[in-house]
Amino acid sequence: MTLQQALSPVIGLAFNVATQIIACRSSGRLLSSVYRGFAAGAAACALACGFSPDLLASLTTYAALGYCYFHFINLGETARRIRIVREMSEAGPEGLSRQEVLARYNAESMLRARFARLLNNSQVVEKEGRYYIGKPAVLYMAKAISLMKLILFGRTSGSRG
Amino acid sequence: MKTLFWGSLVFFSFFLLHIAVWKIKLPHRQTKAILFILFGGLALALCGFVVFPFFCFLGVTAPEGPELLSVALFVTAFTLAYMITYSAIEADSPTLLMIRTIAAAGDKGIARDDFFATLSDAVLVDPRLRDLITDRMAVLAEGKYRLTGKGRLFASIFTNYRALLGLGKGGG
Repeated sequence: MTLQQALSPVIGLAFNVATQIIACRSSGRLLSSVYRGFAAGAAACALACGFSPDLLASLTTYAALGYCYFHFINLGETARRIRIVREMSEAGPEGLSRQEVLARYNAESMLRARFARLLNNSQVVEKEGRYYIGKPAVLYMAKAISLMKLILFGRTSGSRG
Repeated sequence: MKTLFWGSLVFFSFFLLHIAVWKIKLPHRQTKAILFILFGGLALALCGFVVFPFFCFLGVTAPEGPELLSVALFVTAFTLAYMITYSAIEADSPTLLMIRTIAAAGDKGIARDDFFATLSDAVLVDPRLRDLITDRMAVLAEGKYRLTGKGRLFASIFTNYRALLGLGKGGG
């Protein structure tokens, strides 16, 4: 294995990030820019590694790095903690009380935004004013997370420790 | 193949150790403990490969030269990927809670009002405010949450990156 082959996942990640930034700035569409970035990075990783026995390992490592980058972007888009921290940052050194945090960001506004995403992606469907599971992809993710919670904490829901 | 073999072996060995530790006692700062176990395991394994270069397991010899870097990258990438996924395991994600609530309603479905009544600020916002204190990103003094230096750095990373992407505030 050469040094370039060893570093090929990092080269792929660099192409992923650069392509995703350019695609997002030019189109304004976040999700499609993530897909384009990932595909460009995978191609760059494969080219840097070459068609050797190490290609599978390089692409596996690249996929894990790409997953991390996707979640980094997703955190800025959806994470509650980051939204709250940004609200506190905008408030400056005086900080915010619980009521002031909730006036800026609360369960209802959060649920509306997330619900719109789930309906748009057909993960949830509405029939006569009632909601049902649509496509099962997010349900499978929820079940996988519940299984990990069961293994680690012995329960399937609830917050940390 | 050495990277896949040794990388998987090192990652899953110390992943099992992490599960065993969690079964004995849940650490106060869980993410930090995971990073300590998995990166500590990687450091131990790399030291072992350097000290015992002729070590062989199941017919696969220890990695050397650039292979060591490749194994380190493999384990690092999977450790970071798991750490990110762990945040959804550690605290209930609102989206996954929503999906579970709807799935639990089954064929009857769930009415909009019932749905919004189930998931309140106490369930969705308060745990994250407590997490900020636990993770030392904010302090609570005289009824006000104020960011620490770590919290301000955290906020600026995401604010600046979203600006680089040409996106707005986000969140939710």
